[in-house]
Amino acid sequence: MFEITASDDGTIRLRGRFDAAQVEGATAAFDRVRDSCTVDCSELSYISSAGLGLLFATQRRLVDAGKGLRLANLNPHIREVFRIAGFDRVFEIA
Amino acid sequence: MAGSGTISRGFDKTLGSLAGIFSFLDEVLSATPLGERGRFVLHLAVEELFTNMVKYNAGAGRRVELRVEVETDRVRVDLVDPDTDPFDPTRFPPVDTNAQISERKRGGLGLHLIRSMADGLDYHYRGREMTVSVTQYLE
Repeated sequence: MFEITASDDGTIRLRGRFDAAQVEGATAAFDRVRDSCTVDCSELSYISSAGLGLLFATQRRLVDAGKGLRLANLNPHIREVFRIAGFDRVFEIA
Repeated sequence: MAGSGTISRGFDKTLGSLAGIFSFLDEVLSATPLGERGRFVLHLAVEELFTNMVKYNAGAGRRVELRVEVETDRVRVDLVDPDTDPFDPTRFPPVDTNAQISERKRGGLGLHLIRSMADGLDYHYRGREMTVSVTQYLE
C-alpha cells in the first residue's frame, strides 16, 4: 500500500511502501508540486530507487525554479538509503 | 531443485508481482532471526534486481524464480531467470553520488544501494539461465 496526501498547509504526506509498482500512480501527484514544501515521511516504511527517482526528478525541477522539497521524519533505514544515494546533499532533510 | 533449508516460488516477470514477492519474503524471513534492517535490505535488493529483470529482459523468460536459503548465519536469496541475456550487476559502473543535482545521471542507483547495503551480491550465467544472489548475514 502507498498513499500520497496533501494537507492545507502544503505538506505532502507519504504513507506505506514506495516501490517500483507505485511510481506510475505517484507521478501525477508529484507533477502537481509547484512550490517548495515539506514531505512528511513519518509513515513511509520503505522506498526503493524507483521512488527515489521520482523524488529526485521533482527536486531537480523545483531547484531549477529556485525552490525545493524538505524531507522530514525519515525512519533510520530510509535515512540510510538517502545517505548512501548521496541524496542528503540533494534534499534538505530535517 | 531446491536444497535443504531452501524455499522457492515463481513470479511473473511484471511489476505487479512485487507485492507477492514482498509477502513471500516476509513469510520466509519471519521464521528467521534476521532483524528489521536486514529485512529492509533484502526487500530493497530483491526489488532492484527483479525490476531490472522486468525492465531489461521482459520479453524473454516470463517467470522468475525466487529461492530463499536460510543458513545458520545468513540468508541468501537467489533470483533465477531461466531465459535471458547476460547482465552482471556486480560489474555495473559505480554511481557518482557526489555529483551536483544538475549533473547526476539516471541509472545504476539501485545497484549502488545493493552493493553498499547488502552483505553479498553474486552473479552466475550459464546456458541463458541467469542467477543473481543477494546475501544478508543474521545479526
